Amino acid sequence: MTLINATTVHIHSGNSIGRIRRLRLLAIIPVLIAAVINTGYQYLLAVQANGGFLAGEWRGGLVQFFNIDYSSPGGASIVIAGLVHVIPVFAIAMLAGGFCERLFADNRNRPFDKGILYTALLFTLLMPPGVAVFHIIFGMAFAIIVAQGIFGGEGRAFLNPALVGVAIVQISFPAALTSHPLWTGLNGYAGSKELALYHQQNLEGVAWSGLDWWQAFLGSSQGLMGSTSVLAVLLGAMVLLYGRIASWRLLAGQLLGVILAASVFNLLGGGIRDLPWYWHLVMGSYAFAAVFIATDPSSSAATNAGRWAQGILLGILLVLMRVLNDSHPDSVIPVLLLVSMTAPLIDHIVMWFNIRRRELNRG
Amino acid sequence: MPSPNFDTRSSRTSTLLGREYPGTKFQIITEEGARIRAGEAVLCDRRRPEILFTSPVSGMVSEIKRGQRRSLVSLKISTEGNDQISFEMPAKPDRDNMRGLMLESGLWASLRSRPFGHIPSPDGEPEALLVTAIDTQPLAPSSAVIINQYNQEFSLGLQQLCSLVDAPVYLCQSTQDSYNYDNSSRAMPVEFDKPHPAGLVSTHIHALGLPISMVNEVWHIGYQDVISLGHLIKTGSAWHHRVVSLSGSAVRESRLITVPLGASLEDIVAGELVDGESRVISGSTLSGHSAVGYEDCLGRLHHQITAMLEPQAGQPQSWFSLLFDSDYTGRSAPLIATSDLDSVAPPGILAVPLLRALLIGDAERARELGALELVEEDLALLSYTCSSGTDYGPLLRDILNKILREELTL
Repeated sequence: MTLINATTVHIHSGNSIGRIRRLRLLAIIPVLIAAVINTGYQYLLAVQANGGFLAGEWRGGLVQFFNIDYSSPGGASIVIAGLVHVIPVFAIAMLAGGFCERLFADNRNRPFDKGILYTALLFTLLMPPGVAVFHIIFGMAFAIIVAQGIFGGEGRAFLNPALVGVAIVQISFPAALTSHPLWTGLNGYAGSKELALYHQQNLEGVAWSGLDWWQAFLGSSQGLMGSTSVLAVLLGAMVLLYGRIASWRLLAGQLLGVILAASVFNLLGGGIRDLPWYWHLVMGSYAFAAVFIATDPSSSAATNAGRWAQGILLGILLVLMRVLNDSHPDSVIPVLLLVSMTAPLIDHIVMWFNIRRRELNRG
Repeated sequence: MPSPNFDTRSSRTSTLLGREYPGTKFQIITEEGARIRAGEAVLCDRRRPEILFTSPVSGMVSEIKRGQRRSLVSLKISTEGNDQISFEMPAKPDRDNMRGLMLESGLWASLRSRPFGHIPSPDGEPEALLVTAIDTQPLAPSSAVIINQYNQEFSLGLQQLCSLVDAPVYLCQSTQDSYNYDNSSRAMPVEFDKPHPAGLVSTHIHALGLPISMVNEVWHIGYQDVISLGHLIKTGSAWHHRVVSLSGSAVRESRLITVPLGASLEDIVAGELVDGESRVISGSTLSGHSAVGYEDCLGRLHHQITAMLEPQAGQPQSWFSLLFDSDYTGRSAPLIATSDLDSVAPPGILAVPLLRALLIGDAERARELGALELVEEDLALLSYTCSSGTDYGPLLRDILNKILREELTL
């Protein structure tokens, strides 16, 4: 006798966790390319300004090993200098994360989550170029164990693991991350150069240093490795939206929130309150985090109304924290942590309205 | 009844599947080897013996298959001869007489109620009666073509349905089709636009704002059962055929055909399929059943036969696949809450919260989120879309049974 289910769905859309992983990787490739090119370029510029490589720095040693002339950086030398920064961080993150994931998968007798490839990439791209090896291992191990493994693996955690990893590194080692002699723009916090300049001298300071909005949009400035180029992030966003992995409601809500909050502060005026909304979008690591981390379906609201609400809340909180809290000029990571944690609450409220409508209809 | 436009195919057997009537405990009032005529009762509901299930063909009961706790799995009748029972028409077509006629002729069993999708109680009164004259399942036949062909019977059946209940009767149609029948009854036409799930009863219930709870029921009936009722009124015997679409990638020539109720699909598709391994499904690819073994029959509520070519299995895994795909065999893959789940959910239902409640077996939450408005077929599109590959239909039925049990013990 053949056993057959009561009803069976005979066809499937082909949507699977494997498909989601493929599309995510495709989406992040433009950012990866931008990260390699810009990090290499900025590094060689910084070495040039310094008048030579720093003594005792292993990345400088590697770049010198490839016999690169920093005085007139060309295409190949930029790419090599970029790869010297991106590949080791990624490789160490993969090793640390893979080891922890292997332990969990074996002990819990579940399949190895191949999504750690994407987690490690996100983590790498949110690290400053001069990050220390120990910090990578610490952050990635924390991410896989605390933010993913103990919840049962990929797609079951309530916070994005890469976000948790980056947050723990930023919280634990704020000084070490932000005071690398070659990456002067990062002084004081791990964000981007525009934001640092703005905090010191307003928009005139940004303009004076030769940075305009388009440059910030294209990503030609110092910052976290993957988060400087908003253009590359937008290409990734298109892939995620096309593949229906990211929710357009969540992204549109964020845009709305940022415009709303920034406009209110513009009216009040004074200091960083004057920063217009379109500068908020291209400064710091916001664009990257908004597209790749905030839209993670596992850690964002799971109802359409909830997605709007969460997006708007995220946009407003981001501007609010950037403007009102001097100790977090970038403030993307703490805001994302906070907003991700509100997702169940937001869904709960949406559910309450749904249940109430049903009750009222019943009379 | 003549059906000039559609090929008529015959079948050697006719099968009645027990599980097509959820919530019904059958009492068998015939025995293996007994001779029966078309329209004669073979089963009744043990708890409500006035609900009868009649044979659509004349012949001999060839096999009665029982399952767990002596439940009925299937009852197979071998076709032989052409004897038919005629029913006497009531003198006055009022509510009680009509209900009596439908019960006697076995047509009552084609009514369904929400919640639960059971056969409604013969003395119950619904909030509304919905006539589903739209079918948006993949490769489903156009209801308008069939209704227009049998417009007299449909009008007659509709009229009698209206005398069955005091509640409003809604006629759910498609906006894209033109229907050509005489609606002199009080049934109110409502139009729905494609795509699927526009043709599902839960969509209609939501759009009409009908309340569903343990005490508020909505009844519904398919358009071909209305034609059958009209035929019963007109000729004295119910229409024991269905017009179904024969389609799918393995079918040589897709078309509409007339087949007996419960017909063996093996007989129907003989000579109709292309070469190669194929899967024959009674119903649509979203909510039908594979016609194999004892389930080789046209489902009671199905209006289509789909035959698909089986995909070639045994491809070696590529290195690319090794890099990304996890093998979740024997365990459930995670439910990734992407927003395309919301776009295929039944209207008014929060897809992800409901699916999560079903996955963890939380009957109370599922009920709050509208599980009572749904049956298995409403979740088919979600099962189709969800990255976890879970079939949510059986999970929903488990939850519905749990709710019913809790309600009975209260």
